[in-house]
Amino acid sequence: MIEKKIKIINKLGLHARAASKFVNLANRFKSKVRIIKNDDEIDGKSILGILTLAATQGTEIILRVEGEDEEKAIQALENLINNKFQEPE
Amino acid sequence: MEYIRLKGLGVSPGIAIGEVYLSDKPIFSEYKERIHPSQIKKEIQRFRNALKKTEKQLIEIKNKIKKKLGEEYSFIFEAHLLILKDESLIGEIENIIKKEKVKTEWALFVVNNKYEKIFQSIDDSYFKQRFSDIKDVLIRINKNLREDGKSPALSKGKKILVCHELPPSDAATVLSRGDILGVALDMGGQTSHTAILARSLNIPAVVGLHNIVNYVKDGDKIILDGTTGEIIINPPSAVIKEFISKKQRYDDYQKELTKIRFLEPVTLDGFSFSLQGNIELPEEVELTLSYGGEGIGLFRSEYLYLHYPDPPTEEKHYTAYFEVAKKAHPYAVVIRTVDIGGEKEIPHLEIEKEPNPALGLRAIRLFLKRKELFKIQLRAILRASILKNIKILVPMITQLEEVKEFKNLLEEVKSEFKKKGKKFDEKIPVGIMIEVPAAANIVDVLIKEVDFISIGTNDLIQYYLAVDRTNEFVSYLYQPFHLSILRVLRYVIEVCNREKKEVTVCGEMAADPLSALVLLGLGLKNFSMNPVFIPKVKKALREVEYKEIKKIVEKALSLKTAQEIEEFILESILSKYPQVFLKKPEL
Repeated sequence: MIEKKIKIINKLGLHARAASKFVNLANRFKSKVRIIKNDDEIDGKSILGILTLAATQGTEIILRVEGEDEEKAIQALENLINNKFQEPE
Repeated sequence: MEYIRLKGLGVSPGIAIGEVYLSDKPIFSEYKERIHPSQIKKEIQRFRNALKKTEKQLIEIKNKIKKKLGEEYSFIFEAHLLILKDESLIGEIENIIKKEKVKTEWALFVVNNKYEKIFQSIDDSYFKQRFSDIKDVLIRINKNLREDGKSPALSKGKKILVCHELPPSDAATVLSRGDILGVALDMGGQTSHTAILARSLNIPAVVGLHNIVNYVKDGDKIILDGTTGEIIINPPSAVIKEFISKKQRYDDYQKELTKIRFLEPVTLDGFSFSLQGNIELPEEVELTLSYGGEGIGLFRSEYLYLHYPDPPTEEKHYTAYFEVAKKAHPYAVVIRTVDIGGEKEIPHLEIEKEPNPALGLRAIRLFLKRKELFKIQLRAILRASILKNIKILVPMITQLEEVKEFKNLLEEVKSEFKKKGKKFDEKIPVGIMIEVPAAANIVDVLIKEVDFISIGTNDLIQYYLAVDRTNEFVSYLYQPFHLSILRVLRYVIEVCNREKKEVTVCGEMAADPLSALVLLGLGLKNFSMNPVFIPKVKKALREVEYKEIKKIVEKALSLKTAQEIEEFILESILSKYPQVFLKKPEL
């Protein structure tokens, strides 16, 4: 299991479009993906879960990935977040 | 094709046969329809089929939009597809179906409500609004649970409107359009706005069907019987035939009733009487007049208080009262001041639920306790009185002091009007309702203070016999022909006639032909009732001689039990006037 604290830096936060990209990417890996924000923990492959987190710009989340391809997965997801979901801002 | 019968509450009589027009506002069923454990597998399959269908639709839409407008716009359907495939959502719905053994529709409703709550608690307004995406997807699934999720183009012609719920604002516009043969609703009750409107527009209606929207689709043939509350979906031709002839009989009966409307309200021996309508919406005035009613004997003003979240403004009261007065003119309109109490909690009026509301702070008691609030009602009534055809009726009077206090209050408002130079009917008549036994007993005292009397027989009987007629254990004791009731009615009517003050009965006794005949025999001239009963009562009263009925009722008062009295009166009347009662069609 790998855990990483990451800050959401894109302007709109984990909004519907970013969440869609996140879920689509997470689904390409076999590992379980969890997102933790404060006391809330949700399934990173559930768009509903991500939307209910309401993670706006500047929110700190913890990514917890567990499974055979966990290293690749966390790397890819972290890149997505740090690249601001490839959104023009 | 499947043939389904549903049973709801018939709220507007008549039969409609035609095609379904499903109102395209899909809302979730609020009816928890249970299934047998052996059906669970099948139900899950039904849900998954709907998911597949929904997915196909979403992909189609997404591609179409992408082509037309670009990825920027089609993206939202991408999000919808992800929601549709969200395992926690799907798992949740399937769990509810399995654990609670319910139809998918109920599970969707529960899940929708759950997410609505979750998203409502989010502060950020963008994320808060994302609930609409989830709801959209759930609605789509809900639609696709029906065999045919597509809605075919509406063919022209008259249709039967089927919908989950019809908000009052929509009801008025939709129902008066002229292309609605009948109405079937999941929600609603006898006194819902839609029910009242349908009755006044003569559109057969059935409400309280729980989930008819899930059983029909546009273009389905259905039969709707607003008298029995029955709905038949995709009926075989034999059943259609049966209902066509039923409809014919009903329409003939209606024609018979309409004929009566033009006849003079007078008995065979020249005793004139007057029939009026009990209503609660301005829209019902036309209905009353169309049935031959001569004015409004009781306009209930509670509607204004009970159907809105805030206390009604003076303007709202005024608009309703003036509309009724204008429509009924030159006939009179009796406006009853607010008759509510602690049978339910009404936060905006600071009314609390009471353990014994029938004997509690209600009607005039509440009115006098909250004078400033209810003065608004008096101001509106006075403003609406410029046509000089409004009378004020005060409910639930127990003692003389209440009458005087009310009149003082009215005088205060009147002098307020005079000071401001506002126009109103300075001689506006004030009457009281006789419902409390104590008031009936001292009607000779009370009558000196008022211009007219209205007897509310429903409450008077309940209080006189100490019987709640909605309580099935004691309802057998509710007997309008109990000797005590006939005696008290005789006394009140006699006092009024002696004092030459107008007296009206506005309870259900006035609407039942046999009871109305008894009231006639006691000397009553004015009857106010649900407008649809006016023709029946008119027919009965026109078929008899007042003097004969008077004799029969006098004799009946020497008998002992309610049963003896009723049998004697019925037999005596029928042997003399066999045609007195209008025969109802066999439905």
